[in-house]
Amino acid sequence: MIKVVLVALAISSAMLFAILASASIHPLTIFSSGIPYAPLTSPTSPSAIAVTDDKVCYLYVYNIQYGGGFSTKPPSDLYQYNFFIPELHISGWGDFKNLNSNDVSARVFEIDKSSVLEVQRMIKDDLRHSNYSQYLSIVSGGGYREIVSYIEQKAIQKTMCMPEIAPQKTYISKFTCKTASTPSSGNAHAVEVCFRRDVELYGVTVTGINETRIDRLVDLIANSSLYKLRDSTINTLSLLIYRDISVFAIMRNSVLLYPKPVHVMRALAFLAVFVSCIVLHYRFRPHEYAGFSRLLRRLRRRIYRQ
Amino acid sequence: MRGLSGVDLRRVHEHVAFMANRKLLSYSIAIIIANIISALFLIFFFYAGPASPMWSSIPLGFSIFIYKILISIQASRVGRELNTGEVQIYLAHTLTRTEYLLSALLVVGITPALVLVATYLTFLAIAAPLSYDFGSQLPYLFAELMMHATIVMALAIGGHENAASIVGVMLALFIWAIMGALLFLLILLGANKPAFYVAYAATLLIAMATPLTYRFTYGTIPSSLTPLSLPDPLLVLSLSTATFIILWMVFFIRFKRRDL
Repeated sequence: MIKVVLVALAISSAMLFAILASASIHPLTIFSSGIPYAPLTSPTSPSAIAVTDDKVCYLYVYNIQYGGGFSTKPPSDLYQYNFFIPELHISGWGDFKNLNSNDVSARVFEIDKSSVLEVQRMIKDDLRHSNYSQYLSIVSGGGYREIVSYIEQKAIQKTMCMPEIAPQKTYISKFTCKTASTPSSGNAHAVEVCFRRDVELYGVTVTGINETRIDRLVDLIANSSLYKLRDSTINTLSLLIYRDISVFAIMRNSVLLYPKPVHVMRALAFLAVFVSCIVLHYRFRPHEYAGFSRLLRRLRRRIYRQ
Repeated sequence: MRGLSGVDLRRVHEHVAFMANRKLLSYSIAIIIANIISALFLIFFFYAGPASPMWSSIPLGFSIFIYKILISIQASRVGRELNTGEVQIYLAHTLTRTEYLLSALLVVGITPALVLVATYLTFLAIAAPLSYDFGSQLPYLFAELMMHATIVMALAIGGHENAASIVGVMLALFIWAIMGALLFLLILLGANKPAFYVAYAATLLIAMATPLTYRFTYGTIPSSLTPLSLPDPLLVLSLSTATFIILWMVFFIRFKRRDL
């Protein structure tokens, strides 16, 4: 009976020691679950739109809020609970004519709350000083460059996004943005989506408007009073230009077996204790280990024969 | 070395070693493999999930199931010894009836329970949990295996070796379902019906036979669903422990007088 107990415990200790030792070098993922598309924000309107030298850019700002992760701590320091957001997906753009992936780019910046307030102040200042229509948040090219430069300076994290264009080249399926670190709930994201100025849009069916280029359409709306556009025309063009985005996060929960040296040493100590007890038991009762001795003798004979 | 009532503990120890070792490949290796599976479950599942009774009890339940099968098989072997008369050989030489039954208790019940509890304790010592609630499962674990051993040994000592293994395996497989069905019945029946009290008594009996499973189930059912408060798991553990101690004392007394 004692032999059975000791051998069983020694073998399980040896196995635990082996697992802990290898996991201390390469942490093992024991459990992983994820939410494939968790909304990070409700559909967000652009905070600023600008026509720069060669692009038409949209700036979206939203607060990062999500629920996720483990609600409890791991019951032992042998384990590490990880929650991370490896990817963001941005969608909401469509109605293009022959859009290619190098016609569009997107970036995501993580900024803190105080930077958000400053960005909003900068946008308001530029809007106040511009002569553009109040229908859209259209800022000047220079003002936009200053705002983006400020965001880049204050960004906690910058992520480049890859566009996925639909095969028909009429809409952007999504932007995929691989994050280097998990965005912090409570901070904010500033998302910049830029198009080449000559990107053309579908759906311009308003009488008297022959423009399809995005920069020209933005210019029409911005200077609607100059071009003496009717309200209905402005509304129709606004629907094309004024695009909300939705941002989704892929969330992953995982549990890592991440032993510290103290855990490995404890397992080794137990193994040493049980093996010592087996050796002691063998000294007092060698006949109980006759089976092992026979096995060892047979193995030795086989080895020496070879 | 003699203990109380003239039991020679050295003889008991020799016979226990003989019983445990004689079918080395079937019993000892099986218990070792079951222990490895328990250790793996502990390290990969027990702590890894959210700290909830369900997460920790289900993988441990699988290990207990394996040990219960082992206990049933070993008890059946004791029954075979009694039926075939093999026990006469041991009693003719050195063992008294009390010593024989004591070694049977050690091999059938104590050894598997000891191995599983020791594995659990070793793991707790290595992992050093931040809360010690997980250690509170140990007495329930021990009581569950001992109650299972008591039930199958009752059949084995009565000479029903096949019933011991069949009932043991069936209990191991279905006890959780029986427990769940009884609790469901309690919720369905509602109080102030004769059938409810019958179901309540049956639940208490089954709970005593499987205190760890009951503890887990008790934790998952909201008390608002049951018209009458279910027995506290600690009370069930106490009753279960008292029951198997009393039953084994009865086994010893009856085995002394049994015509072999």
